[in-house]
Amino acid sequence: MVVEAGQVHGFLGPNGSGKTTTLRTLLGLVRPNGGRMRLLGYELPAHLPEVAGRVGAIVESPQFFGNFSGRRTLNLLATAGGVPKSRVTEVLELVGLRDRAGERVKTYSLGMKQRLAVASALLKAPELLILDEPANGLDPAGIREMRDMMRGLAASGVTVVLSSHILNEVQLICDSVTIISRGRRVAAGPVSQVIAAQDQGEWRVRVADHVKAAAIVAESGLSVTVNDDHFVVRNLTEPAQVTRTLAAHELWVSELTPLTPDLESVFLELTGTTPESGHHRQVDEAVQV
Amino acid sequence: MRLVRAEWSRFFARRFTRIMVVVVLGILGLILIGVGASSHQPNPAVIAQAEAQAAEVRTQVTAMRAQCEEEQRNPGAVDPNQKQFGQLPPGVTCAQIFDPAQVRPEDFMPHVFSFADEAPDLLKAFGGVLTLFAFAVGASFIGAEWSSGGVMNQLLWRPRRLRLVTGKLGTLLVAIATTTIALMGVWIAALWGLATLRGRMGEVTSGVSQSMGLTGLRALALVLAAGAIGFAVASLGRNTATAMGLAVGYVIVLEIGTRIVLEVAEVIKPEKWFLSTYAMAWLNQRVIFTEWRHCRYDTTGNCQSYDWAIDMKQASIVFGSILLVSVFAAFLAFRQRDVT
Repeated sequence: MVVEAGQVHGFLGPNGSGKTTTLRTLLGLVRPNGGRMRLLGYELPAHLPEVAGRVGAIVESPQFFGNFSGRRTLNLLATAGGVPKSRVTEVLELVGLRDRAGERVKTYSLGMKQRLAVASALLKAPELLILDEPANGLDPAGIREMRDMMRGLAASGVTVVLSSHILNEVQLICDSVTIISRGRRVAAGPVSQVIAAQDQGEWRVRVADHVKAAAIVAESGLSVTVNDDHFVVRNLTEPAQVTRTLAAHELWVSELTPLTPDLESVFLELTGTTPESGHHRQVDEAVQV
Repeated sequence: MRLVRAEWSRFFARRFTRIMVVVVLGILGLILIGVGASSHQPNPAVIAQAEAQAAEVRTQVTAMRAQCEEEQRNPGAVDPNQKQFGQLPPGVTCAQIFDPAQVRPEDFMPHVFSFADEAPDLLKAFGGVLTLFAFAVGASFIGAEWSSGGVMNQLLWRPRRLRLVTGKLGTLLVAIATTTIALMGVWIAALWGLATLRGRMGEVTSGVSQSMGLTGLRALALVLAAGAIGFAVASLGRNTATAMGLAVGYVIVLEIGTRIVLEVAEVIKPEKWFLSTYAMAWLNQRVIFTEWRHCRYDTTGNCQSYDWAIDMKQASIVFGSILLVSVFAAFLAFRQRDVT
């Protein structure tokens, strides 16, 4: 897994695939039993203490001492970390908790705790921000604010590693992704390349008698799948081939649409987790490489 | 130092610490009220009557001492029918048995709280209460941090685990020591005030003051040990309930259950198996028990009970061992175990 400086990098995988364990290992919370890790140029875990001050992180669900207020929670972290108190006010403003900072954390909603967690990660003005499910519990406005904040941080030079299951958000925010399944990497690279690699040149075709039309197109040597009210042509390099073939049989095309995959479909395909009707998929049922 | 500042602030900001301080003050207040209620401020007539009774008894004691000494000096010269004391055991003198100086007017008055006589024991009671306080606060200090994710948050800032746990334990002990010393000052002042208002000071000699000072130091050491052990056990279990459950389990199973079993089974010297014995030995310097279940036969073949003791040296070995083992195990686990 390689994350370039200044990028927003998505770290994706099904439940139980090892995302959080990977992040915990990277942050020194879990002891690695093999392999190599480097963070901001430092070998880990040997040099983690030198680099920890430059890395902000939230790992899994946010947890805080419920009887302290949000501000006191951040103040204690700031005091221990040698961060000026003014920074606490800044990050509270940034995550939208300014007016609720004096209330006890146990009165916060999940989304507010999530905001507080992000604030704690931002407290030390990190060069690298690692966020595990940061949108968990956020309302739609909060998700958009989180997205804008990450874009803003990336624009200011902060590298962001984002683990999330909200794949349309990841597709919108991230420059690159790493997808893992059962502890192994199944895809990595710029988002557009990962998606393009799964593009099978599929086109949706609508026509009055779509069953007859599908048979004609199939006879011309193309791969076809018939659906309820349309058919899909695969590996199509020249769309005009479909219109020409059908027009020769006086069948007139009403729709010819390219089916470009999105990150979600690519993810499901690569991890082998596409839902199947009537089958209750178990957590470990995923692609293993 | 930054970590110490943050932990210090956290210690005193915690609601549990504040509640426990209030509970301790409540318990001490109840003890004070009880002692005050049982103390009767004597009026001049009562004092005069007590002094007269004491003087009369002193005269009797002096006479008995003289007779005792005469019997020891010339055993043959005394009419055997008049003999009262016979031969004393080796090392025992008449002066030890009959000491008029030990007859005091207070012995003939209703109970009057005497600072000089009772404050040392009440200081030991204070040590006992604060020991429980320190165990609970120490356990909660790290236990709540583990269960609320605070330790993980701090490890993301400070991955040097041993430094982190050392800073936490060190700050905890300094905070507990500060609280204990402050409360001890309040307690001694309250006893002083009680003596002034509803009792008497008694003879507060330099010996009494020194003894109280040493008792206070021993109490402080026990309190700190309890705080560290509570911290260590809660850290090993990663929550407060582990330490509190262990403490309650220990009291129910060992201090109560096993004590009953050992007594029913007539096991010799059963007290040596309980931590409360060693705590008392530490605070009192020494506790003496009389073993009557398994007597020793003297030269005449009579079955005699005998005394045995546990002193503060044995207590220090027991508590020191528990402290070292628990803290070492907690540090080792803190350094090695994954944080999940």
